[in-house]
Amino acid sequence: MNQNDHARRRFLRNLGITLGAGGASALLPQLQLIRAAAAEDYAVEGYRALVCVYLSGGNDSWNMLMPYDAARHATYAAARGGVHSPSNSAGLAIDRGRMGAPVRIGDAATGAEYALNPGSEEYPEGMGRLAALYRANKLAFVANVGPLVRPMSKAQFVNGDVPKPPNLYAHDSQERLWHLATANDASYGWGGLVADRVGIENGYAALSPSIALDRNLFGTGNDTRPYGLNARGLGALSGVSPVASTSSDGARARALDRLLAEQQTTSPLGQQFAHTFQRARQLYTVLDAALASSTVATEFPDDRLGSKLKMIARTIRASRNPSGTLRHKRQVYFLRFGSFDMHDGLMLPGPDGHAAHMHQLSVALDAFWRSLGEFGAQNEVTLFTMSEFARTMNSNGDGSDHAWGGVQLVMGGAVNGGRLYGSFPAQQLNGPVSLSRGQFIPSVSVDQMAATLARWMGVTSAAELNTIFPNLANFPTANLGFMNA
Amino acid sequence: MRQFATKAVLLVLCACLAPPLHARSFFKGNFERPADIPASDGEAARFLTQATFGPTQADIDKVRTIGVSAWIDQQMLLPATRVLPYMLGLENVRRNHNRRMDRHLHSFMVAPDQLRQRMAFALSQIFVISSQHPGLINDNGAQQSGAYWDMLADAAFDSYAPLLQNVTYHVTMGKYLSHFRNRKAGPGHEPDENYAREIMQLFSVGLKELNIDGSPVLDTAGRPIPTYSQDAITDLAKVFTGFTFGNAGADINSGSFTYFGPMKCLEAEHDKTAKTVIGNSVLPAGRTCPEEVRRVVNLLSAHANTAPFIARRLIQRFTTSNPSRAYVRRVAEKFRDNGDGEYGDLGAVVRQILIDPEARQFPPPATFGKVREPLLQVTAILRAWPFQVPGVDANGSLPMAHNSVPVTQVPLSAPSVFNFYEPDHQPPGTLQAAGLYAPELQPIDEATIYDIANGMAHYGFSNYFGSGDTGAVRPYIRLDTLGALPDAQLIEDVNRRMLYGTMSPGMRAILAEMLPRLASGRERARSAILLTALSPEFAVQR
Repeated sequence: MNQNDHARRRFLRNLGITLGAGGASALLPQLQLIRAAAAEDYAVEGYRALVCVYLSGGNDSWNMLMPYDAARHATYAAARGGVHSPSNSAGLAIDRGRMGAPVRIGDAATGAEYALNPGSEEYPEGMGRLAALYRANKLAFVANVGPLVRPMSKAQFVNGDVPKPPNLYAHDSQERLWHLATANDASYGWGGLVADRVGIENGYAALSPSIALDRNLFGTGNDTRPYGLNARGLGALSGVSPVASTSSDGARARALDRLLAEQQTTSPLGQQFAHTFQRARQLYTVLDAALASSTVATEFPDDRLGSKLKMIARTIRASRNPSGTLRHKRQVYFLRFGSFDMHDGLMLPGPDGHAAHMHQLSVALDAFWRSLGEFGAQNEVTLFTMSEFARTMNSNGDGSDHAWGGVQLVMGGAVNGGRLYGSFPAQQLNGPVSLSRGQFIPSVSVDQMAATLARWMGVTSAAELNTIFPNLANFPTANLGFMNA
Repeated sequence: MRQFATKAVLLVLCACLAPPLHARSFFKGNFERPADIPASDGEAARFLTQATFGPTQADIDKVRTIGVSAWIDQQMLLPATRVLPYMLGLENVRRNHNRRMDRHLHSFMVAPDQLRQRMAFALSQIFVISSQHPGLINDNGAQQSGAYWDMLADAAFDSYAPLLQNVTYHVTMGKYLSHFRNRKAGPGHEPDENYAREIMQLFSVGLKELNIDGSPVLDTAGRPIPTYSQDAITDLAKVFTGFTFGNAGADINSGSFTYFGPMKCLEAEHDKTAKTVIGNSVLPAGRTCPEEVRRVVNLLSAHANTAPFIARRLIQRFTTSNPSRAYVRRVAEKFRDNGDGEYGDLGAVVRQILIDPEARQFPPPATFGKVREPLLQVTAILRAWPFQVPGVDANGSLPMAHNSVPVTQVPLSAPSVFNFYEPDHQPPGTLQAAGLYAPELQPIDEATIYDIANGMAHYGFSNYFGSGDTGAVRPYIRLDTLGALPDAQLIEDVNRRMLYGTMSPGMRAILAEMLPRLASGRERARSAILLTALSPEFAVQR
């Protein structure tokens, strides 16, 4: 795509925002035609959405997905300081005997046996629901994925022949690399860059194609700014009505909207604040009405993760309704879950332990999956996890420390599920792809996982993928194969 | 105006009769007026917006009488208004984080030690602990967090190195960054690296080598230089082994959370091997835990990065998100030498931040200033207007925030050790293109902006004296004096109290158009306060 195309799209997008915000619905049919012409580079038929569940703090994914066959389980257990028990409180391994049939899965690619986290005494179901979805081929894992500049062997790590991602093991830097899907210094997240391109045919363009239940860089593109959505829905402003009217609330509304629109402040920080506030005001009425008529019957867990996923399900339902006000065709969602930074208490059986978090994830994702089924969107929505790093295999006495490559999951009707992608590593400390504490050099890069999802969203040209993911060309494939076309 | 002038004269007389605590600035040059008296109430209020939880007329009068430096001198002598004694005065079941927030909000509203509390708030955003952590969320965690706050407030104008040491030994930090009950390596386990990493990345030196003006040092290829390696973290983690409750016995798992002193370090659980830490400094084998911690604290304190690293973070909390290199340098130089050859004097640092020509330039350039933190927006309203301040209720609580805390920023409750926002946050688009930072904008989006607005409305709009239930269960704003003013004077009073006289003509016109559409005096008053609180002009502290 040349510069003119870029400029044209940006112009169209801005035009769309202007018209959408101004409610110039009479012009919309013509606008749709212009947009359709501009979007021909991308495959944007039907509705598709990505939902990123960010496991905040660094999920110890080596206790989310464990090898089950006796030999590899023994390697795993040894590296984790032995099976956790009252007499071995520092041990981080889960007893093989606790990995019952409901959490056991097989890898269709290799035939190897694995188990998902079996839970604790307090959460005996563990990740049983996600194991069932996996067995139904609706869920896949990407094993040993993490930030890389180019493929890197252990020898290359040691002798420094290949550049390493900057500031390995630091929360903020590594989270940033997951959001950017590049080790280059960039300012835009890959979800936003995808939305820049495939969100162009969205009907109500005042609503961003990028919707954030929590703040993030992932959903920020060149033209795309995440819209912040509260899991509780759109609460009203105290004392200020949504629109100007003759009431007292209406008089205040008129004053507020003038204050925000007329930009009296010379401070660029104040202007930015005003833009955000103004956008919130402008979208309130349309979105509040759209969400009010868009509910789901599925019962979600009554916790923050459940509330966020339920709000996303409702928003998806409202957005893809062909006779609704929003009529979006492509969306990216982001939410944050956890504190997974379990330097201590990793093996606690109660609500603060890792088993509880894994169980909570399993129950909430399963509810989300079922809610999509209520309105026929299971094949149109792909949910995936990201997390800044996995954690050290070996124990710090009560938990694990920051490491590197780990396991992420991908869920949806369009996922080639029931198998692992990437390469599940040999889990010994200081092994062929691991460092002294069991930090793993990733087998596949964030860029590859992200590009596979971006392609499914409609960014199909190699040139465009290479623009979004500048390091993608360093890797042997841009498509890990976990998505149906 | 005449009334104000009389008050000022009386204050001058009082100051002359009082013991000459601040002789240096006040009597300099034979009873001349101090050179740093702000030229207007507006400029004094602007200074107080930077240095306190919001200007009051009494403080404005005082600063205009004794000058900025003498006001800072007086503030630094005031003892801390403490949180822990208040919490220990409550029934056990009430010693929770909500009651802690009551106490903070009450202090920020009325306590005399404004600069000390403001500095504690700033330090609490560098040396971060959070009530959101499972180990601190319970009531014991709330009391210990109160003790942590008091430690920061007590040390607000003292030396950096002892503070870093006290932070390291505090049980809340031990719990939060998990060096509490961290043990030396044994079969199957290594020391926890959490505190070792964050004490360097966030509390002292940061990731990249810095010049004294805060700019990165670059290598010959133009790349930043990492301050330390992963190996240095792994070895430093061994220093922070052996810590447990201060009342523990020989077993690291003994002791209890009811003890308010520092953690103790059990030598039997402490790693005694030699360690190579930051800057390839070697800690020889066989040293005691306190010796090693002291050595490490001194190494980090003395590191070339620490002065500019801490200077920039503190500047961002008090005056501006985008200090010039020269401003960072001047503050960092004060960190290195307070003028008496002393290193790490936080009092000298905060004084320089506030009296620096860049902070005092008036009117400031458009890019100077910071988005007000959500908590400081609320406290500015609480201090700008007369309130019925709640007394202690039947349970001994100060019901400032009540149970559903309508403030979107509670001290010591950030989402992570990276605080409520990060110092290098640049909103993409215009601000990023202009190279501007705006930490406080990081959590602000379409959803949170409504929460923040409603928090301000709770205090400045919804709960007013005369609104019905005015039992002493929360602060009630008093609107009658303001509401009795004619439109133009009402707007001018709001401008003076909330925007220190900087309200733009356009904003005045918008408020002037609104007021005649509203009925009663109180309705006009609370509407003008709310709209000012929601305005882009109030959103940024200039």
